[in-house]
Amino acid sequence: MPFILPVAHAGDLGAPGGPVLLTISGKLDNTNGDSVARFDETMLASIPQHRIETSTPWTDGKKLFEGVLLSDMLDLVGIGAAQTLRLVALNEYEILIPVSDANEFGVLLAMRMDGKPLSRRDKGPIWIVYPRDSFTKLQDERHDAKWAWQLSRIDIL
Amino acid sequence: MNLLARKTAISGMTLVAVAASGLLLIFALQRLVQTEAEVAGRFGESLLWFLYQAQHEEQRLISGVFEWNASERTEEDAEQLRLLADLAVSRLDVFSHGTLARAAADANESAVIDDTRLNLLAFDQVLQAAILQRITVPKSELDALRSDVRALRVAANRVLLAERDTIAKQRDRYSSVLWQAIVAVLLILACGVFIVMRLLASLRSAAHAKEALRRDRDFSNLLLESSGDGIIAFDTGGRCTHWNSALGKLFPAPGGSQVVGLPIKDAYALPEGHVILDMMRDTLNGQSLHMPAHPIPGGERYIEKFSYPIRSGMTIIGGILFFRDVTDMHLARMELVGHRDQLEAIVRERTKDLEESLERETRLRELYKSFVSMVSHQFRTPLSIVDSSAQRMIRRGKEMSEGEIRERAGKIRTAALRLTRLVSSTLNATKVDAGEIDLSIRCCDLGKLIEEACERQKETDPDRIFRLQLDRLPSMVPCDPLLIDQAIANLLSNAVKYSPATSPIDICADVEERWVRLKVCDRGVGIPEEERPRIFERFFRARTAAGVEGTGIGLHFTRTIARMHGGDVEARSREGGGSSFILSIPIEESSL
Repeated sequence: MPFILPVAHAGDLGAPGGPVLLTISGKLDNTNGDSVARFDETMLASIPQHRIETSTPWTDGKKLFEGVLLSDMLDLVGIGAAQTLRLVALNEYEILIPVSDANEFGVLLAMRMDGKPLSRRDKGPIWIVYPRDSFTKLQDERHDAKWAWQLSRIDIL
Repeated sequence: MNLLARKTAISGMTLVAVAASGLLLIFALQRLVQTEAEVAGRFGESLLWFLYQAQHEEQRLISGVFEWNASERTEEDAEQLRLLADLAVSRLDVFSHGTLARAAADANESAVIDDTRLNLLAFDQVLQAAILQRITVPKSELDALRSDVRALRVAANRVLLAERDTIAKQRDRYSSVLWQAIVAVLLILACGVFIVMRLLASLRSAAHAKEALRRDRDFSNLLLESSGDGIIAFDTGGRCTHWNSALGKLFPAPGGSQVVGLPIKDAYALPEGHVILDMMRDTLNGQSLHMPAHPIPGGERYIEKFSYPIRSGMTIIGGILFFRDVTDMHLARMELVGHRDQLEAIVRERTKDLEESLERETRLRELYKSFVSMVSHQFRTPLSIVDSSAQRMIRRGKEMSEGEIRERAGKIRTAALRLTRLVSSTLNATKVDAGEIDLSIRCCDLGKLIEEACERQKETDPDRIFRLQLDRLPSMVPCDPLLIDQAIANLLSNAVKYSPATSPIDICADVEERWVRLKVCDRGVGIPEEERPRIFERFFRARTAAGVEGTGIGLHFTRTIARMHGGDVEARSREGGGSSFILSIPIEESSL
């Protein structure tokens, strides 16, 4: 992994310096103001980076996605015994996913595709990525719906 | 339709039903599997939804532009407008890649989307500049966007209708497949009902057959058990298939009555080469065998064995052995055979007696005939002499001189004497035949006996020469002197009678081993060869004896006496003419 950095300690999320890309709200332990946890680009970059290489229904050919593991993010904010997450996109698209997906599939909060940062015009800045090629059961429309683009908020229910 | 044809037809129908069920099942499954594969296929992202999204975001952008124009155009407003622009562009961008690009191409909507996207990107340049300069966006710039929004809505309309059409067609297809499957299942059900009915019918007829079989088996068991014979049947492997308790009584098996199902060889522990095993083998080769009554080893019973092969069509499928206890019959037969033998012995004995009596009777008749002939011949001569002498004496009367009378009387006396002699010798012979003469053997001087007999003979024939050679005689010979004297006298008188008065008579004695042989030879008429065997018969007289006085009893009497002594007499012709008679008498060793 080229981006191995120490994981921030609980209760020490830091404060976003630039534009906020991701807001985590709901039943979370660690916040950085207004009962929510906000992350800017720098903060996200400080979390260990992971990769998933897979094809998707919205792209052509295999793509290499890089970003933060959803499980790492949830650990960082501390979600207790919460079971479900609500993912909300910039266009107010909403979908519920089980927390267990994070560990079971190693779901990624992807921020780069093929080395290039994802822009808002290209499903960025954060795209929920499942390792679709590695699990046959993920190759299904119900799972495809969980790939939230332009992710802006995670509600921990 | 006869039973066989009906059965064949039903079996054929059942087969057809089974085959049809299989084919229908395969057909239905194939149709369902095909449909399942179709249904399981990914329906992918909804083109309609993304068209709606694109149209919606573009509409929001248009609204955003209006708000921007009317607002104070702060940095916050600028950011909001940039977001709306990004969202609108991103919603059109998705049609450029992946499944949506293909879906748009398939729906022939690519051109509309591409135009919209190009228009949007052109507008975006104007927009970004306006945002940067914080100026309003001229309304004319929005015209293209408005018409694009409409175009997108119209495209969505088209896609919706096309999708409806596709779904309806799909539904029709699924419905048709399901109906085919339903019909197939109904047909399978019908076949199944038919097959189950056939099965039930088969089970019922199997039960009937089983019941009939059981009745048959009970009946054959009854038959087997009611037979007094021991019965055992076996299959081609020598395994017992039927057995009855009568056999168990006759031949108890080592394992009791548990014989059925076992190889007979094992059940009865028969050694290799046992006669039963041989019979079984020959029976299975198609022979029907019968072994006559024979005793059971180590028992007093007698049995008969029968075996027959059992055939099914042309094939031998086993054999059956019968063991019949024939002890009573056999014993009865044995008894019968005994009785028969006894009867036969009695019959033989009786027959022999009868034959003997017949022979005796025949002999007696012959005897009487001979006697009568002898009497008529021998007695007539002296009687005629007496008669003629008496006539002469009557005729001559007193003219007869004393000498003449004496002569005549002498003739009469001679004839009377001759008659007396005939009578007495006849009586003697009769006595001997009747066994009235007792044999009284003692040692006597045979030589002296012979000399005295010659002397007596000489009294009647003084001129005859008797030449005696008796020096080889033992001093004493055991015999009955009276009878032997009679026998010798007979032989001597015969020799004298049947030979010329001038010829001598030779008498010589010899001893051979344990026999005394006394030979009397004459030089007389001899005996014809063919008559020699008969001359010792009573009253028989040879042809050559004709004209000579005799009863035919002498030789017979002589032989009887010789035989009483354990000896015999035989006649031979003498060399140079005449006869020789040899009297043989056995002597004790000690008397030599």
